[in-house]
Amino acid sequence: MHRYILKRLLLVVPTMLSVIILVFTIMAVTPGDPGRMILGSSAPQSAVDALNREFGLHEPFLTRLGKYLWNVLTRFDFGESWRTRQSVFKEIKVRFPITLRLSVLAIMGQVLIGIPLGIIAAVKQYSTTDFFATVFAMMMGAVPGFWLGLMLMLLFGVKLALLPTAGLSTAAHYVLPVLTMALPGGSGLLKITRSTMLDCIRQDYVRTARAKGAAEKAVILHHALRNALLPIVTVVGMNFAFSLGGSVVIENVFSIPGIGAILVDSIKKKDVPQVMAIVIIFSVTYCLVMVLVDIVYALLDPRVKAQYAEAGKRKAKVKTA
Amino acid sequence: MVAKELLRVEDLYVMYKTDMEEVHAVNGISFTIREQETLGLVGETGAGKTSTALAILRLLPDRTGRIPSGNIWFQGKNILEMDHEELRRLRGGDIAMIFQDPMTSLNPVIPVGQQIAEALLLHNEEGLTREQIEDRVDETLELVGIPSSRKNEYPHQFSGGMKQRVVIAIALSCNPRLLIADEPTTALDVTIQAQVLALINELKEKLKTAVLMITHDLGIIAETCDKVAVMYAGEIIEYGTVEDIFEADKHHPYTVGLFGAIPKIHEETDRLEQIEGLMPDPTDLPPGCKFHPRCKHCMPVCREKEPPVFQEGDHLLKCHLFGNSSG
Repeated sequence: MHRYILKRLLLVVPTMLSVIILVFTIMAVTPGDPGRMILGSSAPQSAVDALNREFGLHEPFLTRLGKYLWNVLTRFDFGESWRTRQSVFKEIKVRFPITLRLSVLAIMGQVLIGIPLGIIAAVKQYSTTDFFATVFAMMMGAVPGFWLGLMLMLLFGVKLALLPTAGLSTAAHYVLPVLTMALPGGSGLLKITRSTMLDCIRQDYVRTARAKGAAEKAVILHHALRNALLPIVTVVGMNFAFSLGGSVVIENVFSIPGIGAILVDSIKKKDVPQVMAIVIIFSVTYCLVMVLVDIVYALLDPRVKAQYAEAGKRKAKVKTA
Repeated sequence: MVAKELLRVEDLYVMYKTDMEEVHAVNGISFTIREQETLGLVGETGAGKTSTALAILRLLPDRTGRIPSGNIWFQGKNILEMDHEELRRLRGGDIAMIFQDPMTSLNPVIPVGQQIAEALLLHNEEGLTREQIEDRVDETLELVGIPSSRKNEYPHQFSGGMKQRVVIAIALSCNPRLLIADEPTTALDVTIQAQVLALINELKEKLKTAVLMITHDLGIIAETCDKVAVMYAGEIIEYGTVEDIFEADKHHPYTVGLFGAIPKIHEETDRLEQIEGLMPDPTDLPPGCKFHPRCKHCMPVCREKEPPVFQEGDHLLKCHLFGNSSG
């Protein structure tokens, strides 16, 4: 098991290197003049050139990439933001926790909406509940997040005046943005839960459990759900990554001071060190969540775990399933 | 001495109903199993053997499986009228089932010991403690020939034959009165088949369990059963003791065909004999005798009238060949 976790963690390193190189390259080849962006259109060309030189933009691409990687890998130095001239982490420290909190809440919402409804829809296939759950899932899956956000705002914020629509100062402020992020993801989770549960319910071992005399609830939760959880966990992990990225839009709609606004602004202004830092934070979080998913996978499925059973311990008997 | 009656199936019908079609899987079968008796249910794939077994435990698929009429009496109670709680106690407790495919019958994410313990916990009428149940699990595993040290292993760590032993262990853990074995050896290779059958026979003696042995293999019938019911298209077309079926001179033409399909060791044959044609489509059964389209002795009456039951001692035959002659 330790080896399994270690191996997954080590895989994060090449992933991160690829992400850094890829994003750095994209930032370098896209048009835009950072000096001009910062100083404005009325600044003299000489000042713009001097600023660009200060950023090291006169050097060839590979030299810049090399230097960036060198600084990151040896000194853990991600540079300063070109716009604010402060450490790139200064703003991240304040804003990333907000985004992370939103995403975590959104994922919890998705799990609470998607999994129970999915199970009910599967157990009562073709019933009215199933019909409404499926229709709800299709609607939520088809609707763009920002539109849903605006509609929820209009309904609960303006017409009914029940909930605040902008900022994040109280717990009530969280309701609408979290709901906006949880509903579409939750609907996806509902669909995957429904279909994997339908699949598991028809398995022979579920019939065996019934033949043993297990009560229906135990059959569904203990026997079928445990097997259905594997794909569900994967989707939860992927949805988490998606809500991190999606928060950029939602934060905009609800005027939330998360990391999304800074990311968009930095990309527009071609603030390369700031963009890099944010993307790296996103990717590391994503990778760690995926490692977590892999670990949960191994805990749920003995066949996955068996592949990484400690060496020498009945190794001959371990079969890959 | 005639043993007490344990299970009586009366005029049982099973059908599967979907939006598109109605499948008539079992069409009015009746049989009895006495205590400690083994009844073999034999027939081709699709004859309705498994549907019968599932109906006895009320395990037919919810949405499609229906029992339009019939009664299933178990120790004087009608299974078809039982509520959830009674059914729960019946399943696994009084009647246990061994399924056809051991590869898929065990839950892949639960250790085998726990899967056996679950059955014991569910039917824990003696109020056993956790430790006593663990001891029972060990005993049951040893009984079916698996070292109890392996109880914490998962199904994927066992071979097919071993898995079937685990399935048998689950079924026998609560000392059922009746064991339904649905083709217990079909998925296993021949050497393991013999072992599993010997095991079932041995346990049957030891635990005094009655068995409903479902199979398409006449060899298994000869080895294990007291009585035999031959099924065709959802009907029992011949019923009798093993001696009746294997040695009597009067037989249903279908049974004759079944025996004809076994290669004979003393005769030189190039090809196996077979019964011409296929089982009728259960959504569209022929009128009259359901076997008539394939029967060598088909008479005009066979196409129109359902054959009466001809009885000779315990030996029952459902065929016009005999029904006509003896009235």
